Amino acid sequence: MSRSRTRRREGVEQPALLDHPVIVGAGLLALGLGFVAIVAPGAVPDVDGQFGPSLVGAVAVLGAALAALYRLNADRDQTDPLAVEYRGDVVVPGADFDELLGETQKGSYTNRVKARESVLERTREAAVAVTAQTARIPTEEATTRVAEGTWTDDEVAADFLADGSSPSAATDWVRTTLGRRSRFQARTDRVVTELGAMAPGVDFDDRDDSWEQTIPGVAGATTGNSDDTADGDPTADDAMEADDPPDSVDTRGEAPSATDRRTGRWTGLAGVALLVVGVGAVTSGGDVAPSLVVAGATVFGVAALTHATEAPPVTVDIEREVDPPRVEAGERATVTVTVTNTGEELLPDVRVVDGVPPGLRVVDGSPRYATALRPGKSATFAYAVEATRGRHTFDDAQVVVRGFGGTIERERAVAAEDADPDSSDVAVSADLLADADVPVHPQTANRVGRVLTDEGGSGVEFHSTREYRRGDPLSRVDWNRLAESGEFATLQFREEHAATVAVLVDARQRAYVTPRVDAPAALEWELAAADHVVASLLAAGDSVGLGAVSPEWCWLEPRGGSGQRARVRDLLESHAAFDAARPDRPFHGHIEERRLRRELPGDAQVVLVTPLCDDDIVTFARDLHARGFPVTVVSPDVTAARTTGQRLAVVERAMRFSRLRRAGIRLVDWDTDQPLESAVESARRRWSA
Amino acid sequence: MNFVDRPAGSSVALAVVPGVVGSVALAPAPSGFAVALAGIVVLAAGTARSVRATVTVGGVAALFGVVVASLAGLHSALLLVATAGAVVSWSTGHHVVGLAHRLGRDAHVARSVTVHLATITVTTLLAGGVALASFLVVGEGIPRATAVFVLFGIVLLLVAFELD
Repeated sequence: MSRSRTRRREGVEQPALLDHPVIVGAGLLALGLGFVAIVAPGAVPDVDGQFGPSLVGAVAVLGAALAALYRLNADRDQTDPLAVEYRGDVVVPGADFDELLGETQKGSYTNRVKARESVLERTREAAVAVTAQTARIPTEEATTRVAEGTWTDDEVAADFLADGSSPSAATDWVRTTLGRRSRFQARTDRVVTELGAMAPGVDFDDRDDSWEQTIPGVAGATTGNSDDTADGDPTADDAMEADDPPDSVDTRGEAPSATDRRTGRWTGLAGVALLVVGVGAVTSGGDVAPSLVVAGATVFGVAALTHATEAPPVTVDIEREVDPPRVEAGERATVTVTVTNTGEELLPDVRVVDGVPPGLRVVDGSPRYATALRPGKSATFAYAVEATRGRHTFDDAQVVVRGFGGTIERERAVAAEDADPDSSDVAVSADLLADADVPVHPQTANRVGRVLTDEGGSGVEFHSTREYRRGDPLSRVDWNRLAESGEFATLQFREEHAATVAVLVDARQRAYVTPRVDAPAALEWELAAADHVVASLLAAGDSVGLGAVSPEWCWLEPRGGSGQRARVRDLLESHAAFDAARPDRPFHGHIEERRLRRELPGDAQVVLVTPLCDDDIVTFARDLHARGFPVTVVSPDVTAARTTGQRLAVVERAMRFSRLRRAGIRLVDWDTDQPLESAVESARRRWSA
Repeated sequence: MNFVDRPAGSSVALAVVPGVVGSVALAPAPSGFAVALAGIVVLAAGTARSVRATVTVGGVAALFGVVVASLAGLHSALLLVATAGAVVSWSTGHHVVGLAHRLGRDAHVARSVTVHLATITVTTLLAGGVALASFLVVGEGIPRATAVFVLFGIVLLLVAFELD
């Protein structure tokens, strides 16, 4: 890169058109000589009659080849668009595996082999877990079965994991080049499908890709994707593909930069001009057809003129208005953006991508806009966002300005004047005091409550009888027994005590998952579930506390009463640990767990709300349970089953359930299409069975 | 709303119309007309599917139609119209694809596309007008030396423009 002669403007490196004066000078000299040959024949020696056409042809082909080379390089230089439409920083469970599977066909040979090994390793792990669970055999034996290929009747699936009989990498390369799916990917999918058929409680067909759900507790917060494809052609496969949202969105690190760059927009056009002239020269067998010279000159003239235009400076102001500035969660706010050209020059090509906050999703219109602006003129565009909990601050807008030719573009981050932050501070509100109470483990505090204990005393349910002691209330004397045998005995009922419960909400980085990047994130369901659980426990007289499994410390001592309800809701709505944007820092399980254990009262039990999409949270739950804090896991199901990786994530989650059950942990698997109450009810039936 | 990196139908139509008009100018030379029209169809498909390489292939094919028509002896003025049509469609096609990649299908881009279309049309007609005028002034007898020098000059300028 020869940057020594580039000029600088606004502190940003700017490519200059006349970076190569010697070559440009030589080119202009050649053009001048050509002109002289016309006006003064003889002043310039003519080219030999035989030699002429081939020389013209050779020069033209050389130029065209150069142009084609440049063009190929230019087409590679594409920047990814900012993903501002979606809530930021969420992934669909299994996206990492899909990426890995994609890498088996990309990059160098070594990379592809490495990716293949990783895919096989992870698939084998899942196969071992499923085999051990379904055949009720130890892990070692399951490992042997997978290695020997006897874990399933499906021979193709069994062979694939057994001896590494991977399909040939070369054949797969040909297949993917032809746009077909590689055998390796197809077989991985087959194994995952087989695992899904074997694993208990997994049904890939049962999943509806569209979603239209109401997050409980969010009044009027019905969202859905059913009409998103209304303007597309639902019958065309490629249209459906194009409409599918990506499986992961990471808006961090994609902030607009302050860059001037060549677009490569006209690269190769002059070569096309040469090709036109060259083909004309060769095919006419001698002199270039004059009409083709006109055509070639026209094309070259366009290339030269567009190269000669420069991009104007980015003299753009952005004004943003949010209406209404405060909304309830689930409601829409309209964002109106006004773009003004404050400079002296005409801006023929202005492109704006508004800085939609990562926590908001665009539900109508587009936060992107392109226009041309004369000096002093403004243009306005609007879009609608769906409000979620929290206070959301708009990022800078990305503004790209190009000149007439579009040869150079200038990208800048422009802060909005009067950037009223969209203060949609609301959350899980509304009637959450559901009828169904949430059952907890029989570990209680020494207070009256509604958890049936195994201790005999006053209560309702019969427990046992014992010898009468002085002072026993007459109402509990077993009069029937006295009548039969003449002995005094006292009836004992199961005592009902209150429980001390800490509700822990999983808000680690890995809990920011969602079945579709345009659907609510798992954390939203978790908060709704936590609110529901806290409400019903408090209503039953239990002491309830709240904590976050998050790098951001959040803890509320267990207490009872309506004041506690308000405190919990306040934390769920506004505490930084439950922010709609994913935390930057990782969660260090052991340190945080120790700190939590110190806070937990000795008789406390834990309700852990988590999407259960990674193994660390399983270890966390098992550790707590093993240390005498009985754990109940409430898990909203946010997995999808559209791709191989997503289906594997479903199987892995089912296996996590098995591991937790084996540890004696109670589980509530919440299909978010259904109310939480029905999930609790079906879980309760399983516990009492 | 999902981000769809393909252009809206109206943008594609704006990009394709000049190419179709240019192809029609080649109608007196049916073989050139057929090649140019096929190129414009490819260009339209590339624009609609946001594939830059296809847009370029379509544009070059349309220009190849001009070459074919020229060999059939079509008049320079008609060739100029067809050349301008192909260049304008190619350029607008790329503009539309670029907008689709960065701004998606649902953004309002009509004004940007129209302004680009108008600008590039004027630029092309200006360049074509100068070329045609020069041709009419100089007449049929372009010395071979001119052709060679001009081509060398173009190659050198091309290198200077593209070096980065």
